[in-house]
Amino acid sequence: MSHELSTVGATTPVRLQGEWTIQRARELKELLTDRLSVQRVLALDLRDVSEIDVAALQLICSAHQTAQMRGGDIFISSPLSSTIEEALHIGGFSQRLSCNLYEKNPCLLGRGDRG
Amino acid sequence: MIDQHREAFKEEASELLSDLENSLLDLEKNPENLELVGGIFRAMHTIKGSGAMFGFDDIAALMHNVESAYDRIRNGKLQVTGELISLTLAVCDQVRRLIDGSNSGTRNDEKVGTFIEAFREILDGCDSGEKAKTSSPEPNDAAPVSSEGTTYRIRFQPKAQIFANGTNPLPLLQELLELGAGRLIAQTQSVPALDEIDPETCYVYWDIILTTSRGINAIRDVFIFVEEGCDLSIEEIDRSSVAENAEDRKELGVILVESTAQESGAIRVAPAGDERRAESRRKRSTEQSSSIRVQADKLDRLVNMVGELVTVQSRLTQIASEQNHPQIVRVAEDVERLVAELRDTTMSIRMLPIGTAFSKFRRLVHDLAKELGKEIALVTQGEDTEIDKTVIERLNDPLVHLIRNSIDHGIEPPDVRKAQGKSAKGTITLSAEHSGTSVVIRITDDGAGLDAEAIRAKAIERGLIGADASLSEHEIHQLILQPGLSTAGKLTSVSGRGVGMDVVKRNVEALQGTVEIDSRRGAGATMTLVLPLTLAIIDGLLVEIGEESYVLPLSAVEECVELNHSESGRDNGQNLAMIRGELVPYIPVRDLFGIEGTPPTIEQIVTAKIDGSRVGFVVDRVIGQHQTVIKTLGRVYKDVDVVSGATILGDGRVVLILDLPKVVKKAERCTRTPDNSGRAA
Repeated sequence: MSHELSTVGATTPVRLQGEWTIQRARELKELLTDRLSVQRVLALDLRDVSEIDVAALQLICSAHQTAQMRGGDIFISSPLSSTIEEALHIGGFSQRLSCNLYEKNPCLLGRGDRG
Repeated sequence: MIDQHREAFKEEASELLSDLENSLLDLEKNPENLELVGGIFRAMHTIKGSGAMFGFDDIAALMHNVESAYDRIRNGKLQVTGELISLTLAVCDQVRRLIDGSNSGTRNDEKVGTFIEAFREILDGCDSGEKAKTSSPEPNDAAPVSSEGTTYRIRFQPKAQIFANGTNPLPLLQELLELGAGRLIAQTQSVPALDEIDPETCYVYWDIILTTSRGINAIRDVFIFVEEGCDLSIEEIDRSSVAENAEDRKELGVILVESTAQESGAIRVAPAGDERRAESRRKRSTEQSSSIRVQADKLDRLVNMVGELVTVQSRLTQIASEQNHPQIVRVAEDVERLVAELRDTTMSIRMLPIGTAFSKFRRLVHDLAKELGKEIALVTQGEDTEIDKTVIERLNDPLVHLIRNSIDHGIEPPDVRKAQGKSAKGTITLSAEHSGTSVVIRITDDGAGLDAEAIRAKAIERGLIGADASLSEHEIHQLILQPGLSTAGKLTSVSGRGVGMDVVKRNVEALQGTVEIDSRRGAGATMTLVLPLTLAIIDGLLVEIGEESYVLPLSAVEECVELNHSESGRDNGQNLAMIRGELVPYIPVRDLFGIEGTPPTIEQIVTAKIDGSRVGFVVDRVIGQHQTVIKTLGRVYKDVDVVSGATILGDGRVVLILDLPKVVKKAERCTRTPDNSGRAA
């Protein structure tokens, strides 16, 4: 199973496992849409993600914006694997400071919001 | 689908490797030519990138190391040497082997490792020398912008469909960061909300500040594969405008966003030299869009159909002239004109410049000369001469053979040449030109030439000529094309020529062509190949013998005259006719083929040049020139060697096309053993 869901209070942990790349972009969109339709706040656990690409990262970014628009939020609940760290660094995401949509809010994938 | 792409890669890589080889050989001559280095680098980069994309990991790994060396050359950190060129050529061979022999792509090949090691050593040597000189930081160092070099502002905006093309931007960005010290930021403004986002569309673009000593070309090369799939702007900026420390990271964003005032869609290039590059890229893309790749068998089918059409058209013309109906005649004439145009256009599609074949031989000359310790320059002329693609393909082996012979046995070692007052460096000239419906290819060397006496002695020993035969030097030279002589290895050491020349002759004759040799002892030799422009449609001479019709290839025909029996006779079993004051041996084709009936009182003799000598072919009537669409006879007739194919006449009759050199051979055989030949002379 590549992702696990369980509801803890108002926060839904979403644990992603394995490769999340363009091949599974539709699946990831459905998953995030589905979770956000039932819960306003998601806790992303990315520690077991072995590969991630720009398609997946921009979906997480989109989900973060969407959650904020609906008055919710997404945060990353796990330490990041070196794979994810590297993808965020090379992809220029970790250098981002604030969210595009809500300038005062930190970027989910940027260095300011992790943990 | 993947297989199809892999095939396309193989095809593309083969072409690139050929270009690469030529550029490398040019570079050896002009080591300072940076334009060549740039071209070489780009070709390698393309092979590397598409190799990796289609699972040829060995190729990608190999090319990565080699291109790094050429990148150093481009930046003046490494010198071009003969050894480096030879090593790179060997890598090209290895890549070719990997492409040809591998279906799995990830074959573990020890040789690949050896080459990679060799190039790493070169790179290490170069880099350690460089470090000692400048103590520049490691290129991978992602420290704040403070390293040596020029600072660029880059905006990389992939097209929305970039994911669908199989491109992942992350490796590109990583490669970019490896060029020097850089910072990049993903711009996510365009990323829509979850219910609007198409997960397979790319919404992100990147702004990058990069300081590198590798130059703008190295940056462009990173994006070489996605050139069409992205908007890229690269601008040289004043480094002082970039924060020297990373404390206030906002500043990067400000610099990137605020100072990137230009439209992201436009390609803007700062240094003037790059205008040219942009221009050449535009030109290249125009060229690419104006030509398409077509499978060769589709072309062959088209040619076949045009051939059928030519046949049907000649039937129409014949019927129209028989009916003599003015309206039908007019239509038939229009059809004839259009079919002729269609035929010419179709044939021209199959035509390729012979330069594509010539360029392969540069490598052959380079390698073989080196191996034999000789100095040889290859001069090519008339590379633009166009010839049918099938002819080019089948010409390769004979040409390789002839050039090898010239290098091996023709051109003398430098000390021998000097002693003879020649320049130490020998020259082989490969030239091509059109001559009527034929292409004439000449391979000329300024080497030792042929030893006519030795050839003559050998020919007598082998029983090819009588001991008292009186032959001109030119005729003696042609003897090396005979199988009996050319298979003799010893002759090579005596005369310096002759290994496998009969094979060359056979191959060229299979192409309806001829080979002729000219040589002057001590001054060199010239091999002349005369080949038809195309193998699909030839100009033929239609003749009749009794009820039978035959086509003779017009390219070989010299003239047609009436056979005057009062001026003909027999000598030594041969029929001879006096034509324009010269005794010409002739073959009564009717007798040779055993055709029943009585010949007319006045027969025609068609003379042709076969193996450098005039030979007459006696027929009943000469009908005239005939546009001949060549049809193969099929396997049933494969042993009938006197015909090279068949054609269909306007009235639907099938007519055989005679292979004149083979007809002569058959006649010679029959002369020796008259019992087998009916009434043959």
